[in-house]
Parts: sequence; structure tokens; C-alpha cells
Amino acid sequence: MKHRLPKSILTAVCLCLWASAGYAGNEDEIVCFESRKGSSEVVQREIRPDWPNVKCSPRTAGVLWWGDPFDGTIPMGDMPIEAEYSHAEAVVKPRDKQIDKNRLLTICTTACHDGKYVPVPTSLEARPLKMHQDIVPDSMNLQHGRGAIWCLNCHSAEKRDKLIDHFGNEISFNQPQILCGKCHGQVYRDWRDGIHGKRIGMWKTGAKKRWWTCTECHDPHDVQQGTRNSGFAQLRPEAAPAVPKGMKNMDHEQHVEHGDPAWWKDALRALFGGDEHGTAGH
Amino acid sequence: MKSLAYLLIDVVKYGFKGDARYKAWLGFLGIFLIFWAYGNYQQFTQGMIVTGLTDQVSWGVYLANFIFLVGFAAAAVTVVFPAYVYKHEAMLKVAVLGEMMAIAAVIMCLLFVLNHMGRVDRLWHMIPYIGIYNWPNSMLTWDVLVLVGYLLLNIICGFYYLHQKYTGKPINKSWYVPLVFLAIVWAFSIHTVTAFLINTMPARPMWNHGMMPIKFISTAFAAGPCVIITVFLLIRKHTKFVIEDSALNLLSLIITVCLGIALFLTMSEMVTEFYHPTEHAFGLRYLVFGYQGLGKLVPYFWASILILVVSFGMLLSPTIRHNLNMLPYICVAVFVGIWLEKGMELLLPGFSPSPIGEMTEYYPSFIEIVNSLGNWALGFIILSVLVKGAVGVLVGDINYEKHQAGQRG
Repeated sequence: MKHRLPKSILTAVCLCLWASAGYAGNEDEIVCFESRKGSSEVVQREIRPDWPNVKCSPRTAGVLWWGDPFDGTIPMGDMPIEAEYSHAEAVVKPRDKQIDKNRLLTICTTACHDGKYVPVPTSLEARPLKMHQDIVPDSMNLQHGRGAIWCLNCHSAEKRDKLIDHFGNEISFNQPQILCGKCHGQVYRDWRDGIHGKRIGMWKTGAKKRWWTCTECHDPHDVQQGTRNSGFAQLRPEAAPAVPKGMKNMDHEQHVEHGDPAWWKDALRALFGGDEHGTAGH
Repeated sequence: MKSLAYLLIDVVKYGFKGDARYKAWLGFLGIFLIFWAYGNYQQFTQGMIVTGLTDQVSWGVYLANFIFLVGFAAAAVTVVFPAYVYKHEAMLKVAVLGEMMAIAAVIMCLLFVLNHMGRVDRLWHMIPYIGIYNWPNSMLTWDVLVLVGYLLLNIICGFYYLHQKYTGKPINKSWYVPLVFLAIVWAFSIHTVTAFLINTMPARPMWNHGMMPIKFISTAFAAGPCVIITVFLLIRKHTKFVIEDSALNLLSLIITVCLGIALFLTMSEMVTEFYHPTEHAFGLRYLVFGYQGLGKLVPYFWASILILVVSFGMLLSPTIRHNLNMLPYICVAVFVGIWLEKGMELLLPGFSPSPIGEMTEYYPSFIEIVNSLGNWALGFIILSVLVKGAVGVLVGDINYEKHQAGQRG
């Protein structure tokens, strides 16, 4: 038992550090998100005088503009299937910084899942978990794959800071597309060809572009989003554009009648006023 | 050269002299200039933000007046053309007055362009090779070229004629007449290019049709002579200068014919667009009937149609047309009707719907209104002074000999 004691103290210290990390943020800091709230966060700062790295929506805290599209990016690295991109031009934001922002990945990997404190599981089957309820609230009902997969189909059983492919080879958290492409071939091809997902930077062929990877937009632990049954959590939309100067409202944009209203009704309304929005219901 | 300087001094001096009513007229126009100075100060320091223009409706009262006034400038041809091409005696005597009005009209045009550019310093784009002049691709560049050319032609022709009268020398027809003919062709070009400026945009179907240039010219030759007739009648009443009835009758006939053509074109356009309406008719529909509850222009459209049709009907009768007591009132009505039809009624439906289908109504700001009124007032002051000065030369009230005698004495 003796050898377990220092380990428990270390764990406790680490947990305290982790908890305090959550409160360490400066209150003046503007934190906004690029694509997925909570998992693609960026702190506003000046990258040169009067030039912020991002401009954020005061309404939704979503990033609306990038001062430097390549700020904080790394080369995307190899893709398993050749595509029309050169390796030098495609860059991504590393995911491990987001995942590790509360030292969760580091602590769990070094302090707990070292193969001794928490033994390496021998089965891939679903089982009740005492931990990680913040990520997967009900481990017996993972909201991804409808019961066909579980944690260790994606996460490495031995190294918790790595993902795995079908053969058990390690995949970096920064290349989730390789993992997701294991099953989602169709959408992976679309993403690779630039049809699915977001890119910013230079549009010219051969010029640098930042690609958004899968987990920057989708939550891998809850891709179904309950009854929404959608790949996204619902985002609060931005405010409607301002009403053009001089106009009081945009009521005319509502369809007052099915199809176009008769021209003579419009003319009578314009000449003699009357009921603003016709008589027919919506 | 000395005689030319004396001419200019005398014209301006004589132009500002007059009886109490003339002084009151200039004073009345001067009041607008106070607000105009304030409005221009605001706009030239702050830019287009002080206007009611929006992303959707980016042209407003400034360009509406500009387009109308290019027509007024071109309409000097209705005097010059009969005078020099048909050798109309009565017109030949007053041709120089038409040129003076054209000068004032082009200056008004340039004032409106200046306002629409937002700030004066943006003029540097007009300097070839330094600014983004985009010649020959940009229609706006062509428009500026033909307008400045027309201004210069009218200044040269008008003031050369006045100078020869002022000094009592004969006119050298070997170069003067060809230049006048060039000015006649040039007058058509200024209004044609202005029409091309707006009708060459397929994204704005309201304007995108081939009859736009001829409609511009026909409405211009209906509205322009209205001012010319009114000015001629005032000259006849208040000065010694004789303007014959035949000149006025020819001008009112030109108004009648051109107004008839303009109304016929309006009817053709409406039948074409509305017989089997497509999305391209939405702009016209917004103008004529209103659209989805928006219809600020509808009363103006029907008012202008009513004014023009009734005026046309009256002008068709030679008895009414030759009645010089009644004619000025019809002239004012036609002028107002065409100003409505060719200004805001033409421009705004081009922007509603926008190419992506937004319907937007435009409300000119106070600054836009005072600047526009001020431009008109300044233009009419220039017009009054130039026309009065020219009449002074033509009747012999001012000439080179008297000027020299005055200096000696």
C-alpha cells in the first residue's frame, strides 16, 4: 500500500491545480469561440497595434473576423488519401491545446491512466464509468454511433493522449479527420475536396489556407444532439442586419399572401393607405 | 485679350444690376446658399454618412437631379439646332442665350456630381493616370469627358459670339460655325452617355433597355425648352431685347412633339413589362403600383403621368400653345412632371428590388435636400447673371467702347 500514497497526493494536487485553472482567467479578457462553443475558444489580443487577432460578436461571442487567418496554426500533416492540396499550404489549429486547456489531458494521462493507477482495460464493451461524466454523462448510452461503438474504438487504451485507427495505430488529436474518416468516408471526401467544412486564408491554388478539422465544429461525444439529431449544437444566431436608414420596419419582407399579392391591391394600398399587411393570414 | 477680360467684368457687373424685383429674385436664391454652405460643410467634412443613402439605395437626389440637368444642358440644342441648321432667323438672334443656359446647367451638373462624390478630395480620381480613371471601360469617365467637353464648347462658342458683339467685330464663320455644329452633336452625346451610364447594367433591369437614350433625349427636349421659354418671356417683358413669337412658337412645338414621344415610350415600356410580367418588371411594378406594402413613389408616378398627359393634351391645340399668357404655366407643369419622372422615379426603382431582391425605400436627409436646393439656387444665379449679361451685350447696353470711355472718364 505504501507505494499508493504519494500517488494519491499527487492526484489530489493535480486536481486542485486543474480546478484552480478554471478560475485563472483574467476578467478583462474577451474569450470568444471560432466554431464550437467551449471547444474552439480564442482569447482576443492585439497582434499588432490596433489590430486584434479576432473580432467577436457581442451578441453570440462567435468570431466574426480574423486579423490573421493563420494565427496559432500548425501544418495539417499527411492525409491518408492524396487530395488536391500541397502539404505546405494546409494548416490547422492544433486541437490538443483546446482539449488540454484545463490540463485534463496531461493530468489524466500522466497521473491516472498510467497503466498502474487505472489498469488498462481488456474489453472494448461499454461499462458504467465513475469519471468523465462531464464529457459523457451516461457511459452506457454514448451519443455517437447508436450503440455500435464505444470509447476505445476511438481512444487508445494505453495512451490516453492518442486516438487509434482500425489497426490500433496511434492518431494525434490534431488530426481528427483521420479518425473520423474511418467511418464517415463520404463526408470525409467532401471535406477534403472543400465542399464540407470551413476554410479561410488564400483562395488561390497553391496559397496557404487554414482548414477547420472535424472536432472544431462537431462534438464527437455528442454528435446526435438529442432530439435535434443533428451534427451541431444549436447556435444562437447573429442579430438581423440593421434596418436601412430611414425605414421603420421590414414588414414588407413577410409574405402576406401566398404568391404575389395582386398588383391592384398593392396600388390601392400605396395610394390610399389602409391595412398594412393585407387581409389573408400567413 | 484685354477686351475679353472687360467683357467678363461687364457681363458680371451688368448681370447683378437690376430693378428691385430682380434683386429680390437674386436675394431669394441667396437664402438657399446659406443652408447650402452649411450642408456642404457637413458633407465635405463627414462624407456620405450625412446623406440618406444606404447600401441598397446608393444613388439618390444628387444623381436624380444630375440626370435631369444633363438633359436641361443638352436642351440648348433646341435653340441652336434650328438657328444654325434650319437658319431660323428668330432663333439665330437668341442662340447665344441657349448657350448661356447650357453653361449654367452643366455647372449645376458638376455641382451635383461633386456632392455625390462625397468629398472634394475624391476628385483626384478624375485626374488621368494618377487617379483610378478607368478609361475607356468606365461609362462614368466617358460622362465626365463629354460633360467637360460640352462645357468648354459652350463657353467658347457663347463667349466668342458675345465678344464679337461686344467689340463690334464680325464673326469668323470659318471656324465658329463648325464648332457650333460640333456642339450640337456633342449635346446629343452628353445625354446619350448619361443614359448609357445607367442602362448598361443588366443587374438593374428597370434601366436595362435600349430605349433609355432616346427617352432621355425626348424628355430633355421637352423639359429644357420649358425653362428656355419662361426665360425668354421674362426677357421680353423686362428688357428691350426683342424675341419674336416665331421663336417661342417653334420651342413650344418642340416641347409638344418631344413630350408626345416621351409619353409614347413610357406607354411602350409599361405594355412590354406588364403584359407578361417577369421578375425584371418588379422595379417598374414598385414604381407604378407599389410592392408588398411599399409604395412611396406611387402617388408621384401617377401625379407626373397626369400632369404630362394633361399638358400634352393642351399643347396639342395651337390656340393654347400660342397663347403666351398660358404657356408659362404649362411649361412649369411639364418641367415639374418630367423632373419627377426622370429623377427619383427613374433612379429609385432601379435599386428596389436590389440585385439580391431587397426592397428598400429611400428618404433623403436634410443635408441632401439643402445641398440640392442650393445647387439649383447657385445654378439659377449663374443662369440669371449670364443671361442678363448676354442680353446687355445683345441690346448694346455694354460694349467695349463704353467700357473704355467709362475708364477714361
